[in-house]
Amino acid sequence: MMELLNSLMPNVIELFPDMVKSLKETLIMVSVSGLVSAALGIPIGVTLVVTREGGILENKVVYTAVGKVINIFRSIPFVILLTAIIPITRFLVGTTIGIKGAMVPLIFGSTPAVSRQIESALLKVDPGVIEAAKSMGSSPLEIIFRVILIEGLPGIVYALTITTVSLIGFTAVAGTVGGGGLGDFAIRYGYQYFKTDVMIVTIIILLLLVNFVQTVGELLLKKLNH
Amino acid sequence: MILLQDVKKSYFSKNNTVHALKKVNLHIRRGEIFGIIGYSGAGKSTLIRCINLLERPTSGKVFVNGIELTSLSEKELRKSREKIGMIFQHFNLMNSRNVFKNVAYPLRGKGLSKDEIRDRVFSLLELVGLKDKAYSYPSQLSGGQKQRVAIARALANDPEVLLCDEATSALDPQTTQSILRLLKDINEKLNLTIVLISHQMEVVKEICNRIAVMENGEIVEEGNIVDIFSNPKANITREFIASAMHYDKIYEILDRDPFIRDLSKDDVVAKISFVGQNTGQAFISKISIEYRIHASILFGNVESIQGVPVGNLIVHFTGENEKIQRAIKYLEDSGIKVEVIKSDGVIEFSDAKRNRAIS
Repeated sequence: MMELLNSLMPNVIELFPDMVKSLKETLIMVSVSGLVSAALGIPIGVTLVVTREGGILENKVVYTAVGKVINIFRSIPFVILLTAIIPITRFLVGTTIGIKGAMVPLIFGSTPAVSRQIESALLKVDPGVIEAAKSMGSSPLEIIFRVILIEGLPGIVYALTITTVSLIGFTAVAGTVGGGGLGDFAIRYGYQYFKTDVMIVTIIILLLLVNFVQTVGELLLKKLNH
Repeated sequence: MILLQDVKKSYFSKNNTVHALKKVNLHIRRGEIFGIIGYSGAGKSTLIRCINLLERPTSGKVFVNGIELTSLSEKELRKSREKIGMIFQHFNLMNSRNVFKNVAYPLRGKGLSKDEIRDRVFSLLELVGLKDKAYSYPSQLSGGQKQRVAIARALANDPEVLLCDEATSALDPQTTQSILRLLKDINEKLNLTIVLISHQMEVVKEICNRIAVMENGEIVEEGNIVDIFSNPKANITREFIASAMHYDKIYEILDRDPFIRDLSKDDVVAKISFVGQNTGQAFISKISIEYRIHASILFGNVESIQGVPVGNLIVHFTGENEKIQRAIKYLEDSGIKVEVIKSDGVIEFSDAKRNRAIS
């Protein structure tokens, strides 16, 4: 068995400990930056929804300002964002390489996307239900926490599933500039050293990872939808 | 109970201003079921939303239960809204919550214990007849059941007023009847004031004591439902009544029936309308005996509005013209409205006259 594996993908066997380490790094990067960008993106998304025209806390200035900032970050390609915010990264975590250094740009890159995804998910909450809550004497805060976020929960789960998947892609990009993780691993050994078996196995791992996230997301969604 | 004083509501956009409500004055009494009827775009939805200030009037004052809502702070207004229930055309239930939790929504955060909330929710569900559906989700309910849940939810905080925004427009006729019966029922049981808007005369005539007719952001007619049905003034009111009473059928008959088209010289076709205890049929037999003419009913419609019969008959009189004229005179003297549609071989109505005739 071992011999067979050895002959099929010698480099994978050789670099196996490295590969496991990279997988761990990827998982850490995805989960930490995913959690942080969700923690930032959900409030921003809610802000966009409630301050827009006709929203429960309509405020043109806030809506326009937040929307503009998000658009600026969204329009910068991630590879450029990675290098462009190096000073900020250094200031925040003291380094620009490794998973620590990669996490800052990952958060900067995905928070705006999460915000917009959450915004569009929450906009689907039936305005009639919000109106009904108003008619029952609910305050704006109550409407946010007891109506919009609860009724929008399936949409939020869906949005977070999508962004987690795209975060896995982002980590690979971050890997190219010394960010660590599976992307870094695949580029270094699979691409630069022409170790095709490493490349293929990495792709399979990423595939499984994406599938796992998608499946978990869909299961949650099924449970939430009545 | 509810008083609107010079309420105006305009929507401003870059290029134009829409006056949704032009100076509306309205007084709705405690314990009555008040209907507001009008075509879509007449301003009914805006008007009903001005009562609980979901739409803030551009000018004017709104009083509910003696409190001027238009002068309250947001916080005081929210407190007042708890006493003004509202139900909607599309029910507006929360899909992520089951029936129990939907009804419990307005009760939470008010210092009630779990048991108190539970008891209250179940007594409300009992009132609307859905106790066995407490743990179903809205997606598992029919339209009528959803509206019942919405009614239970709207009643959770013991409101004094219930606003119904086209509450039966998304329901089939049978379900509409059952929801209207439920509304009537809670109106009597809880002495609840109900304001109901609809574009269907069938709905308001079923349960409303008084109605207002709206057109282009104004109330064009207002009064007791029986008075309005028996003596409508505005054209639009006549249209609503005509469609509710199926008067359009009269003209189909008159246009189609060859017998009526070829009336002899002395014959008269007339529409006679009566309200209340005057039963038209009794008069018909009476005049045919007394004036020795034939009176046959071509079309008849008697509606019971709030227990009062309102009827319209199309009658074909044959006999000596002079006798017919005397018979008609007699009917008019007895308080019955007679409108000659066709006499002397000449059709007296034209398209332009139809609106008048169908009143």
